[in-house]
Amino acid sequence: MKPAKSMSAKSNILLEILLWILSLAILIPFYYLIVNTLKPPQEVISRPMGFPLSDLTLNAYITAWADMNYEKVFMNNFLTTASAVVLIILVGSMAAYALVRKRTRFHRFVYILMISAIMVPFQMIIIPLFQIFSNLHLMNSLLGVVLVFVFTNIPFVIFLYYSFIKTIPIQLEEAATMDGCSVLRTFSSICFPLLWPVTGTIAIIQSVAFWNDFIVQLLFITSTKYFSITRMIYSNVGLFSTDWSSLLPMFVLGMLPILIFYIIMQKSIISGITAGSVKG
Amino acid sequence: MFNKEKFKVSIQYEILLFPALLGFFIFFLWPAIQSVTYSFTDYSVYKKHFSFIGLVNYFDVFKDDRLVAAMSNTIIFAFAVTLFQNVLAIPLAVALNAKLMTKNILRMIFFIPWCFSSLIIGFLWSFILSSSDSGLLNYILHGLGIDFLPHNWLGDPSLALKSAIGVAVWQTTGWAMIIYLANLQSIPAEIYESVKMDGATKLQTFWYITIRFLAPSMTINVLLSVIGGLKVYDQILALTGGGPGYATETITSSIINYGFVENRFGYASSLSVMMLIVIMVISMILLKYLSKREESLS
Repeated sequence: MKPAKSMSAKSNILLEILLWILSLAILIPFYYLIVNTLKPPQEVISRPMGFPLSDLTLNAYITAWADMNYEKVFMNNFLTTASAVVLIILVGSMAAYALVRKRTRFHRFVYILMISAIMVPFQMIIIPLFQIFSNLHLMNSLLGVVLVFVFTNIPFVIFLYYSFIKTIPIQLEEAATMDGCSVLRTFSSICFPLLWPVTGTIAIIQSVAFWNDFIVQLLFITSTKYFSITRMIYSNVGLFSTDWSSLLPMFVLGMLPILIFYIIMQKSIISGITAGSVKG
Repeated sequence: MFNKEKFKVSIQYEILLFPALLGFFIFFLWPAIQSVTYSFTDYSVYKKHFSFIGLVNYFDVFKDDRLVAAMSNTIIFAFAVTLFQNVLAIPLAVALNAKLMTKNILRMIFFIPWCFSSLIIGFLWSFILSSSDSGLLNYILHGLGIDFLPHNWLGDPSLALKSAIGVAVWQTTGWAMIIYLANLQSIPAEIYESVKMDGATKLQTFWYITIRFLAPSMTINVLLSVIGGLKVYDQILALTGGGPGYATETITSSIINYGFVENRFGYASSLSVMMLIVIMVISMILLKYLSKREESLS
């Protein structure tokens, strides 16, 4: 058995080397991006791949931070993403609970309507939505962005919660009802804590999706005061068009928050997207 | 007989459901219904008092060069991205499922592009693929001495869509890989042992066992990737803005252009309804075919 084992170990080392070579396809673009933010502008053009050993500088970041109004756009992005995630979890789990536990014809109809809506692309509703936004004075407001995030994604969230709640034995809740707990109380103190695995999945998937959103921002936000990070980068690319050396650090600043989120949450992100898509 | 206790319980369920239902109605269902209604009208910013014109918009779509290009580009994009993404992701997942010392960091590297905004990734690649001297890809090709390869990745109409497909595959392959990895870990080890006893080669095992058992995750990956591809917008906007000409125009960019630049609401709405129909028809055909594959598994 021994020779066979060492052979497979050898082939694994070869495989590992091959994979590292392949990974250059991912790493080189990021290397190119980062290295060009650390050197003076003229070198970006003359030596795109060169590492700036002698004249390493962070000046580009200081300028990019100011040009993006970074702390402002970051806060806008953070507030809309965080409130939308919290709201979609609350509203979605509540609704799914009611739909599982009450099984009248009306509730079944609502559930089927929601499930069918998962297929409908956001693009299909943007024109009427634009008018609704104008009428409700939601244009250029963070609240408007949050509401669109929440209610265009709620069918999928209800679907995930619905499938999970169905597996929770009702006996657990019956005991609470016997003790005189109201429905709301039973939901919040017995059912909701049990939903933690789905809640985690939803929080992860939706955070990444909301954080990176661009199309909602493009259509419903026109004032720079309410810009998100991606929206600001888009408008700056228009302004600085060919001045690469000032744009590349903006891209890095745009990617940094999600990179940090990824490094901290790596395990949960991977199990979250796996669970989310296997059910979906 | 009106049962007060029962009503009290029942109303609590409705209170739980109400916020979702109200929001869904205002921000999703009602605009969707309006969109379908508009699609049968000549509603535009110049014609506020619109009239119903039946299916005229739907027929006009096929006479509009821009939209015919947009539809064929979008469908080609969706299927090409799905094909290459899965062809790359399966071997990658199998390789990263082996006992490697650095498998965790390798998985992370291949997956990370998916986490970033596709708009920013699109802009980054627009620099890498730039035809100017500091465009990275041309710089590398030049350095390797293969100058004869085409240079204007985004400006050449026959290359632009292919470049966009390449960038999308670059960004999303890691995501498909993660889903295949989860599926691979659920294939029972006994199966591999028993085919090994029967003397199957590695290639045979891969083809007859691994690929077959990956059917469930393949359904998910293919379906989500095709639907995502049909909705593509940010990435192509950043890469080419739809050009050159209509070479990378997509359905979404046409809806936004007709709906918000030219303000032809009726026409743009009919396009958005067609988008829904395309997504529904393609998903149903795919789902039927793919779930048949899954059934053959059991």
